[in-house]
Amino acid sequence: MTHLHTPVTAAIGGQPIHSMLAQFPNVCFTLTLLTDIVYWRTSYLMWQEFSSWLLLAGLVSGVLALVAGLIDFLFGSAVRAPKPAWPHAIGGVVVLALAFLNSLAHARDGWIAVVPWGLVLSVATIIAMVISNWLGRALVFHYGVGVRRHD
Amino acid sequence: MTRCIRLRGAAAFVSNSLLVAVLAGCSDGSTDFDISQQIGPEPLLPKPSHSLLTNLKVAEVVGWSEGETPAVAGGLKITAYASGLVHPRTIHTLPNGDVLVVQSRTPPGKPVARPKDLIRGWIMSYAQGGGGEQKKSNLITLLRDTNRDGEVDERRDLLTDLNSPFGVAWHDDTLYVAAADAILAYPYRLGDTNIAAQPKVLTPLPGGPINHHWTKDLALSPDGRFLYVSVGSNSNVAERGLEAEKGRAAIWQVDRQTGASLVYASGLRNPNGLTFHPQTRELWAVVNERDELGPNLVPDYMTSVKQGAFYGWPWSYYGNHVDERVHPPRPDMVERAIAPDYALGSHVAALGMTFTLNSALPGEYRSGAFVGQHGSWNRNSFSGYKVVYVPFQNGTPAGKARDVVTGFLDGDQARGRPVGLGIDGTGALLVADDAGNKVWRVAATDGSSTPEPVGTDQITVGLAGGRGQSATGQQEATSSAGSPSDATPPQPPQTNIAPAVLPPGASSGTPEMQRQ
Repeated sequence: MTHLHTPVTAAIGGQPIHSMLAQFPNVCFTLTLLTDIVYWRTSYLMWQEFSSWLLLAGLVSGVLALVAGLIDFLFGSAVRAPKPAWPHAIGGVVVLALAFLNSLAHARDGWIAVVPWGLVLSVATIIAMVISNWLGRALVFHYGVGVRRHD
Repeated sequence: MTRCIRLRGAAAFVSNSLLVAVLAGCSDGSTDFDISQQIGPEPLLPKPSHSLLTNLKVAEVVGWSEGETPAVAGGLKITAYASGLVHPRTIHTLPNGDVLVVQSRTPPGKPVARPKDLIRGWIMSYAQGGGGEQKKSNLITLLRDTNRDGEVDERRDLLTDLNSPFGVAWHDDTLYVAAADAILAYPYRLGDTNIAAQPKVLTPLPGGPINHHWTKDLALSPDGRFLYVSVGSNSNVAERGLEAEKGRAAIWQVDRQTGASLVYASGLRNPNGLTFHPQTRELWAVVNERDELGPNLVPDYMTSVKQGAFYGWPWSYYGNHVDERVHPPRPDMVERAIAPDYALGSHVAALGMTFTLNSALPGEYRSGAFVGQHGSWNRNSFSGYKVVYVPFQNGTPAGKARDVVTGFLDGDQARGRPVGLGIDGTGALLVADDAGNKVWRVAATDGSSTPEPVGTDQITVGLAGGRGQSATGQQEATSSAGSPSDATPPQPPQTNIAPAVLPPGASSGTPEMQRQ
């Protein structure tokens, strides 16, 4: 099997910035679903406030990750070449769009901030995120995007 | 230049077809709605809208140019009574005709619970004419019209550096000031132009750090025995949790001698303009209702305040219209809720009220109430930003409200915003304009005035008794005068404060008690 090595544009010391940042929105949006579920079960508003801040933190770090990813995507034809590249790029935008809608939903007051649409959007965000992550990992592990030559 | 803040702009960076589709679904819909259907005893209440984006339009405050004034209805003339004030909010006329203008700013230090609070805080400061240098506010200024010609002849700052004062009342040589967290009692004789004595804390009130609706209005009962104080809610619709609402969204009755307090009526989101009807001696208030249910919900209202009554907030509005944002639901509280007397329109932000029976205004304005409407933000088109007159008959509103003072808006900009109202010592209407930093005087064009000054609070019952008590009251006030910190603790102690105390005659308990 041939080893592909596709260095990316946005990197520090050969390590891709996108993969440094992408973990933050992943964790934030996952925890948002958990805090939403706890709010739904308890009506305790602290959990809803957690969700709102997690969404904000996820959006800010997610936009930064998206910018780094877009730089790699736009400035490297080898990055764009693998089959999952386009779906992963679109997937990242969809995740952030859903999370943005979710933060608007969470900015409403009281119960309706979460039940039902906040919860639905949190679940939808995670589904989109899991698919997009799968494709993103495929880019690394199957196509060696961002992997430095070390032989 | 038009500067409408629209969250919609923020959405533009996410170019996603799904987003566009959802946003298209939350247009305002206010264009087809006749807002006059929401003025009167039985307002039309459309279905609540829970759209993702709040309807938002905030007027930029530009102030008044030299010689500019609001417009008034026929038979009336308007002049600037006082200028150069700093956020005037409340007008109070003392029995000798001296006018107190309470000026205050929102207390600082409100904790941010959600990202939304940051955005909301910015919008509110914008609507208040924030930005630029901040002149010192939180003071009470005395305006004296010595020769009763409708012009101020003497102006003194009576009290300064208060904690966001709002309501004032005077009786028995004592000036009561409702600050954002307590009712303070200052020894003060009519005619004095300064107050050197330290106040006594009559009753602590729910204060910070949140203190969302911080304006505490005051009214003196016609028998002089009680003070009534409004305590607004700590949130739009209990989104800070019910614990934060203890003793709030209510009007308290406070014993003037002891400071003992209880909740007189509750479920009133943000009550202000507390005034006793001069004939029926019923307590009236204007109340700001909840936001973010669409441009045409929920109408603000004026109502007589019944003892022990519950008016719905946060669980419902206008009686039994459930607000599903409050969870868990409380059908028992919704069932208890009564509807208010008279709707004024959605988001008009009614903050001031005065009855007109003792005024010297033309006959058509002599038997009702004026209401000051600070103006909307939670709509795509403005409402409020004016003073209206609601005619009364036999102590209840009879007929449509009509505009009396307008012209605060100039296109999408605000030159001023009316708040507190009062009748001055000559019988003319005074309007506090907190964005324009002025007090306007609206008088009859024929220049008629009342034969003698009439104070805002009128003692009409038990005058002898009131005088009898006055000596002791005064003694107490002077003997315990000291700094607020070493003031006598109020009776009963704060562990017993309202609403843990049942209102007399209430059978089913206060909302808070039922929650246990």
